[in-house]
Amino acid sequence: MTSDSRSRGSRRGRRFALLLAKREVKGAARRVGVYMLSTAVGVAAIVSIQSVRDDVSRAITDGVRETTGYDARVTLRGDAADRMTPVLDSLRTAGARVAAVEVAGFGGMARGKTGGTPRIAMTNRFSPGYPFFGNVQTDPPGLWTGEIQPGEAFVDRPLMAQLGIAPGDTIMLGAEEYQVVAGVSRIPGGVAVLSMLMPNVYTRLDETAPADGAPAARSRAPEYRIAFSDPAEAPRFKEAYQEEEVRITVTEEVIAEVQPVVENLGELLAMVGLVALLLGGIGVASSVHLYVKEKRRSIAVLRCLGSGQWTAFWAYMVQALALGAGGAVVGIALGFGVQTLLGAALEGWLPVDISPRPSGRAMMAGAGMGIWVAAAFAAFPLLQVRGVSALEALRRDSGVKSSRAKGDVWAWVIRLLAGLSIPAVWLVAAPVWQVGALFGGVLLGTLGALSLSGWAVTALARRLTPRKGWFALRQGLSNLFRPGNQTLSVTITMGAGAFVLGLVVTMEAGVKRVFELGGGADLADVLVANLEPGQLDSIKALFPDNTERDIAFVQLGSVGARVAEVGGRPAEELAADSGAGVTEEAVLRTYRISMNDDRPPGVAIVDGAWWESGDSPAPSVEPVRPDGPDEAIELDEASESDEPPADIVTIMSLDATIAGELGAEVGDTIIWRARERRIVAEVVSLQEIEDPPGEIGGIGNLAAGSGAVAGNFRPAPGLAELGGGEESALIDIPDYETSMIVQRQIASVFPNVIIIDFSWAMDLFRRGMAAARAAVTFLAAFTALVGAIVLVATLAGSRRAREAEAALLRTLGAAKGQVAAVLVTEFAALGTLAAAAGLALSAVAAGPLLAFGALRFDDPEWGTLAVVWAALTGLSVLVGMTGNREVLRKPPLPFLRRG
Amino acid sequence: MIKAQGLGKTYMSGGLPLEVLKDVELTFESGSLSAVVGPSGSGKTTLLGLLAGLDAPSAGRVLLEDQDLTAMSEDEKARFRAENVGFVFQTFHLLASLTALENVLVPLELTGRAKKAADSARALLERVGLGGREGHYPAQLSGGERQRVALARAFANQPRILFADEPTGNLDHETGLGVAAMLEQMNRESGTTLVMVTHDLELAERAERVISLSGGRVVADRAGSGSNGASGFDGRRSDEGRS
Ligand SMILES: Nc1ncnc2c1ncn2[C@@H]1O[C@H](COP(=O)(O)OP(=O)(O)OP(=O)(O)O)[C@@H](O)[C@H]1O
Ligand SMILES: [Mg+2]
Repeated sequence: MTSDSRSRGSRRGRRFALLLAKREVKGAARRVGVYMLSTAVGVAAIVSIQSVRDDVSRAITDGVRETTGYDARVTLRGDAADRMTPVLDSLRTAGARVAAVEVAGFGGMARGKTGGTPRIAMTNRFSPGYPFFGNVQTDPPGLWTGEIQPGEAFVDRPLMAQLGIAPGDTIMLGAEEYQVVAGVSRIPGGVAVLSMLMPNVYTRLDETAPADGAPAARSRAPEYRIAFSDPAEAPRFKEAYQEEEVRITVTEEVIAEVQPVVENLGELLAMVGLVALLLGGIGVASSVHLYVKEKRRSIAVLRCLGSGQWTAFWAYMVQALALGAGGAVVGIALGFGVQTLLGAALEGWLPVDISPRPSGRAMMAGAGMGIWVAAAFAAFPLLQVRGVSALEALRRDSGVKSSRAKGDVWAWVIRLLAGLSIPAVWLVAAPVWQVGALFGGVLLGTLGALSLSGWAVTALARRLTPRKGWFALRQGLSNLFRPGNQTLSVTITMGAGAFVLGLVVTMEAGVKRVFELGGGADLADVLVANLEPGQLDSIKALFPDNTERDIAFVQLGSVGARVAEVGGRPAEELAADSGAGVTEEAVLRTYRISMNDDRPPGVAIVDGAWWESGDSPAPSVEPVRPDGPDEAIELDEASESDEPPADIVTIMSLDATIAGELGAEVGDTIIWRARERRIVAEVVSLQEIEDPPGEIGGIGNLAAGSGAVAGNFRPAPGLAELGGGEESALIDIPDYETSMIVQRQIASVFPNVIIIDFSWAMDLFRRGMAAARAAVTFLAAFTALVGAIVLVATLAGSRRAREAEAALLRTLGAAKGQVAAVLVTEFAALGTLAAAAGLALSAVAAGPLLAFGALRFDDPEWGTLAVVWAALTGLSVLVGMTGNREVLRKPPLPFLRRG
Repeated sequence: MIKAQGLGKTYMSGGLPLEVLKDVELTFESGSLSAVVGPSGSGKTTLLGLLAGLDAPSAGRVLLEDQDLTAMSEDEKARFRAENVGFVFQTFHLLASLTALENVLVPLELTGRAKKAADSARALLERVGLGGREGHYPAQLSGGERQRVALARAFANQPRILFADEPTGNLDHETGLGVAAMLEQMNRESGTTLVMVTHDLELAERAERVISLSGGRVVADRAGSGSNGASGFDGRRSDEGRS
């Protein structure tokens, strides 16, 4: 043969392959449907999960903007203000909105005009227009106009309740008087957890003020908040101007802080989407495999008629690719449908609005994945086509071994490419390759274990099928091990489906458990701190009817103390001579100071340094003897003389704002009076409380820490005992209104007590968890769907054989019930065993996999798994019976002719 | 007695009706032995299928032992078949997942008689020359061997009526004659009504009656040599075994 005629021959072969492909597709509409569905549902899973992730992350981005109220926050120190003012001005000209905001840390005390006890409050002064995004909810509603008028104030509702004031009343902030316009129940800026916890008062920041130097009384320079016309500018702005004295926080960082759980969950969801696609791939492979098995005879005939080994392969490969592309298109459409539905379902649950939008990324991923799945998973079974011997035309199931095909090198190349592409695509598509590798490994192990189970089921059926007894039972069971049985293929596909489903169910339970942990009694709505001994019992006594109300105790590692001396100047003297930023109120107030060896998260040192663990707490001044005997002295039990107890000597880190108000600096020694003891502490550093990390689970600690108004002591002998007497309590209150009443009552009876309201944070947290649950529940449903379709694909593959058998039994006189009983027995046994294998494996694998999702996992959900098990068995029977329902109803001859 | 009255079958083929069987009027007496002949595609298998109730006619009706098959439900027909009818297919139709013996036993399993009948099933296999092959699966048997398993299965429930669609089509002449002899013997000894499709004219001629189909119509219906008692399939045909 000349090379010319050979190439002409191969061209003719290719044309014939195409023709054959076209005809085959026409002739097998149903199978084409199942095949395309396998691809389509896998693709739909990928597309919808990807799209929903995009939607959610966009919603969170937008939502965080609305929750923070800004795109970037700029804090200036030193002389940075001079440098930044022109920059901010140029931003304004460029279309950005810039507002000055002043948050007067813990320094403020608020009280009603008519008297009553003052309470700690955070004063927030905004220049007009701030917050830029989101809504301010007031009570009565609708009173926020976007601009606070001079002399007016908005007050957090809990604070109003604690102070016993109402809209229209006057509130005193220090010496200043404001008229209360309305209570605030929600305001952007709440992402900073601390500001959610402290009661706030909102007033207007008079921007002309800095010119007359009046704000010198405030130690903090104003912050600036910026809204860019394009939020993407924020990180660039930070990049350009962040420096030592210019601290810039952008909302994206807030997202990163606030959303670790969401991120993890997203990754987990993406992995399960990939698993769904893989399941689809198994569906594709198994339907191609069975198709090839059925077509062997026609292929053998073609071979007899002289077609080449590769002709049939390419004929079917072309089919696979075309169907894969079709499946991908259907899958993308389906995926967007699901996305829209899911968006609608999540709408009311997430604290942010989700507007479903087609995602180009998801579409590309879906199309690529669909075609890849179709090609890679079809390649293996299709390579068998080449080995079909012409002999098989003569004798079906002849037992003739496939002939060694020519051009085996290429077959191996194809196998290698297809085989390698699976882990490659897997790792690339996984959000984090390590997670991908973990999942891949677990999945591979699972498939191996399932193959073993399939084999075991076959062996078990052979051994356990009774020799005597009901015919239908024997016939149904023996179909599990007889030649040409589908036990292995169904065990693997259905087992894999059950495995993933079991995993998702466990995941759902894990999320639920986290949710319960957050929403249940473990996390309270209100924290009362600074309780003196016995006060908690008195508080309990205030609500005698509410025995169900759960009051938990939290021991705080902190000391309540007053200032006795600063830098050698007695407190009385300081208070009398206020000026240069020193306020009388600050000097005379009681502070909480926590005791920490290590710097707590969220505490930033702005001057000096935190102590190293090995530092000696030696003070730089000599301990001062206690004041005269006119002081009320309670004798230390351990002390044998009448002498007052010795001073406690340590070092401390002082809040920068309070340092300003006390006129203290690094190097000064402050003497504190805590109960009957004196604490002599050198200020070694000044600190600021940064917005604490967004991890909501840490709220309890944070709240406890928020009593650390003045900073931290380094632990020293005798110090811990001073803090021991004080307690805090977390109170779980069922609703907001009750919470207001409780807070007010506690505040009026115990003026010393610090009350912190968590309800909004808790609400946000609960809703976030609800959204997570919704996503996981959806995923469970979706996986179930993919699993069902793959199962249908697998079982449909053997439909012809079942049908012929059923028709024959009918011909031989079997009643409908008998045939049905045979089928039910076979499919029930198969389904039950395969599902049991998959679910058992999922119970084993759940622990390590869920750990990656940061989800709690205690025990497998046996109850739910049992339900899933029963459902899968039912599904198997249903699919088996549906596939064979016609043969039960109709005359048998047409079915026999088909075989 | 089998009676076909105005029997017709029309298939829809490519959107067009294809009349495969037209207006067939036939009566088969109990215990009779009839052969159906005709060119390929003339409707022989279709006719047999209709007579056995394996398919529903488009026109007319079938009476089996005075029962209207066409009025019965699929289940009633199945029960009737289980008790009265045997069928041998042109393309064997054995259950691939069952051994030869198990295949033969199926009709008995269905009527709950398998336990007692295992020995007679083995004997049947022996009679068709497959002694010792009971445990083989269909895939391990040759075409002719499968055909003989199908025959043994048809005999297993001792049917009153036996339909055979080219029972010797896959067999060599010698074996074919053996199979034909078995059919004949059954007809003679048990009084089974036998309707057999065959392309083997020599075989057909030995039946009592030869019905010729062409294009879905009965074109000839005449007595075969079997009717005068001169010879059976095996040349030993006599009248005394008929009831
Ligand atoms: N489901 C069907 N749809 C359309 N046509 C059919 C169908 N089943 C059978 N036929 C047609 O009916 C005609 C009769 O078929 P039948 O099998 O009865 O022929 P036959 O006489 O048994 O032929 P042979 O001797 O080749 O077995 C054929 O032309 C066949 O193509
Ligand atoms: Mg025929």
